Amino acid sequence: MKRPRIGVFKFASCDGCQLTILNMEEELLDIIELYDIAYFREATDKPLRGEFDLSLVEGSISTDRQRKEVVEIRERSRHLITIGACATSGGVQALRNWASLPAYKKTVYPSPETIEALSTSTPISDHVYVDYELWGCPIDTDALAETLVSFLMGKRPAVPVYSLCMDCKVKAIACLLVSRAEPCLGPITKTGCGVLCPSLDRPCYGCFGPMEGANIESLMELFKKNGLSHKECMLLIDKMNTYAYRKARIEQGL
Amino acid sequence: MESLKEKKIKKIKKIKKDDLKILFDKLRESYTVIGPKLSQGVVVLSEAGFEDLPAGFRDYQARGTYRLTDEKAVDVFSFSNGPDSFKRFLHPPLNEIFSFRKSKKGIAIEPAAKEGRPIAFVGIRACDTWALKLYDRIFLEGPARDPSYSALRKDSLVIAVNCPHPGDNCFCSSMGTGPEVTPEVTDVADIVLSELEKSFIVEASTPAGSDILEGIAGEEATDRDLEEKRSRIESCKKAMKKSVPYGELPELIYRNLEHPRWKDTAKRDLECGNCTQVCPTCFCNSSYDLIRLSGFSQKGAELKGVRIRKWDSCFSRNFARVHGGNFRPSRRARYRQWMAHKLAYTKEQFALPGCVGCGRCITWCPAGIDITEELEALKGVR
Amino acid sequence: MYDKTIPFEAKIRWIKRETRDTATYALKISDREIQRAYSFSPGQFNMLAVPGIGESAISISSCPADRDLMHTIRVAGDVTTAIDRLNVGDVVGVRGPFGSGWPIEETVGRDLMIIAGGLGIAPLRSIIRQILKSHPGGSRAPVLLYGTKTPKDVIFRDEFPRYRDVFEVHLTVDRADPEVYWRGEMGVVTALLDRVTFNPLNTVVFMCGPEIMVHRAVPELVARGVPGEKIFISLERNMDCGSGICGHCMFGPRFVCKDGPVFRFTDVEQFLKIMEI
Repeated sequence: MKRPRIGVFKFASCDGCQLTILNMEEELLDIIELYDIAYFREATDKPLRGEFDLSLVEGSISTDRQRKEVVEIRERSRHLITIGACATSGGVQALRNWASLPAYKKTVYPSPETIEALSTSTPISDHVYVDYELWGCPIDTDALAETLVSFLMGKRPAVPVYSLCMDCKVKAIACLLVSRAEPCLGPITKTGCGVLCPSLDRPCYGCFGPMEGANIESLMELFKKNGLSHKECMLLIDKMNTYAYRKARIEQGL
Repeated sequence: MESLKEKKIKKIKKIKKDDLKILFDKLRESYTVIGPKLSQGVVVLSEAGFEDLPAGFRDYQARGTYRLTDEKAVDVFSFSNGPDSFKRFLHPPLNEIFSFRKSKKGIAIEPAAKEGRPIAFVGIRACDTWALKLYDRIFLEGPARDPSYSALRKDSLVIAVNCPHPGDNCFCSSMGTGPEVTPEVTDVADIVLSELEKSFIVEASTPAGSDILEGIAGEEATDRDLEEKRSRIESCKKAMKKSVPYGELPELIYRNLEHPRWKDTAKRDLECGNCTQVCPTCFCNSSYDLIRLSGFSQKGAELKGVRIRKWDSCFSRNFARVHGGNFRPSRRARYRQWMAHKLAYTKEQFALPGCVGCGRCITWCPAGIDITEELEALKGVR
Repeated sequence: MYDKTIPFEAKIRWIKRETRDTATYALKISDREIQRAYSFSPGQFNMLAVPGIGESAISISSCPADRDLMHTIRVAGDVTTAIDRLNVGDVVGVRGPFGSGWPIEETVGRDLMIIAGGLGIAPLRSIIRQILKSHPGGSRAPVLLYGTKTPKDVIFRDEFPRYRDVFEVHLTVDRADPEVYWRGEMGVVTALLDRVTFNPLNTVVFMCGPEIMVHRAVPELVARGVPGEKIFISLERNMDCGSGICGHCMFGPRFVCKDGPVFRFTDVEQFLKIMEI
């Protein structure tokens, strides 16, 4: 069997998801044995050449150049999978989608006129067809391993689509919402992180994005009952998956 | 002969409260003892000794709320149910069923061994003994006896307790599943404890339970003690704040499968699945094959992996999904499936109640949806 | 007995392509002892497993007297796609058989009518083949009504001449296909009822097909006088465990995997009416 050619690409992002791949110490050798890593922006400086059986794309589309580049990558890829919150839902940089770009630029950079950026940061799927999305900030190594295995097997990855609460219960973690009235996004957030925050006694802040059909409004109502203002509620979802949570709210007619 | 055996099993003793420690120690000789314990500010079930019992603690429960405080109460079982139940141990949330290896020679399958000492559960309430009875029926008496459950359940021991204080969301009394461990469930409760003011009455109802009691010194329970036991059970019944119209089930559900209330509830429903995970009768699960990257060798010619069974929930969007469609695409239908399964379907499927009135789903629902209130609402005109 | 929760191995003896997306797989159980212990009745299903991919519930399309254990499979999800990639000599995992079969005892002294739609003929082929082998002749011929989308989707096409020896067969398609000459009817399968003369009060119906077909055909049959208790339908659901411990295939209070897949219509009637049950 010829090893599938894999390409790892990045757009506007922190490189954390690519680093996650490099951090898969135990499995890295297996990956290299099973896949031909033909391009890896974080690990090599080879120029882009040839076609890819599988492209893993990190980062959101934030500049005009990226918008063109992602189309080229898609053209060269048999399958394209987005990795991480930026590529899948626009990342924390998508906060500017609901604000004024010049104002943001001025606040962040000393010489804003040198910054070329689109007024929005958008997920890859807003630009090209995406075969599969891996959520998370950063992605979970087990989910990536499952995806890579599934690709070889020719099946859909067995990554659950239900809420984080389900895995909290698997791990016997007491519900932070119920036992301490903490503003935990678990009930509306996809599982996948391995219940990282709740197992460290912290409420979920939504790295893995809204689960399908997330009832955001009902949870917001609950937070408000616990004393949070509307603004504070919005701040909870306006993080690395702001675009996805807000989109879900709009789809629910809010 | 028969009556002698009967007599031997029906062992009633009165022991001092601290002598519960002797029971724990005795159990530890041959069992992994699972009991209530404090953790993360709640009462959980885990490996525990006598000293771990959250004696004197009292929990305050409301819709979607749970708070635990140390009130230095005199009773040992002063607290009520936490989120956990026996199901975590007999139907583990992530359970390896078998491992497989596929090569040119074919498929080789190795069932996962369930080793270890048998489990003794201490402090199981009446409600959960009903749930355990249901589990036995589901996993042991179906068309295929489940090897995993059967191995974990084998030789396990249940030290149940007649519930002295109901939780704020409890309604077992109206379901007929508590607070007393009644003869219908003494087949799954090997020993039943009744807490009195100064002592425990311990009753063995199976030979295994009777064996354990053998070595524990105790006095004969007097008529007065038995009277105290009865009056405590009565006062527990009276203290119960919630109830369901049990007599109207399952018809109340069947009549109202298209009731507009389902849609109203769906608006609040987070479909997070918490209710199903804490419910002691919810057993639904999904199986999948897990292959790690290291499970491939010779470039895919050989494969090895495991079949995992994981807790699932009818609230999960994938639960009733098939290729090309979903049998329950709406949240309304998923909520209805859950509640109807609890209050109507299970009775038909297994001739046992599907809801044991433990109130966990009310407490641990972040949105505070109350099954007793929902049932009341169904009685309203459509 | 063998453990039905653990798959056993079976080898693919031959594959017959039925339509462009459907093929029949003949399996031979590898283990001699399981081979001897394995027995099923028409209408039951197996869980077929491709290691690493998963399992899928597939009805048995051969009859117990057949030499091979056959499954007729349409490519749909991951498992069936993976099976489609297998060749003769490859192995699959099998658990089963599960579920209720067709109640053959109900047909004694009564006229049998089989109604199938699309791939729904697979579990019915099991009973059809059994009848072919055992039909005494003389009495009224059983009726077989079969509808598919197009003439190209007719499964077991080669076997219909043999079916006609015993059955009164009527075929229909939703629409014609320019490449295939079609002598059968066009329209929904229920329209075929007009082609048959039958005594509704003495008829037993075995039916399997898409839910929409069931929803149309049952009221039509009942309107013509067939008693609801004499209509048996095979339901489809996402079976996962096969023995009522996973909860996936619940249809109202019924487990399709162990109470069904074949149900007496009147036992499920109240739930068939309810959307998303």
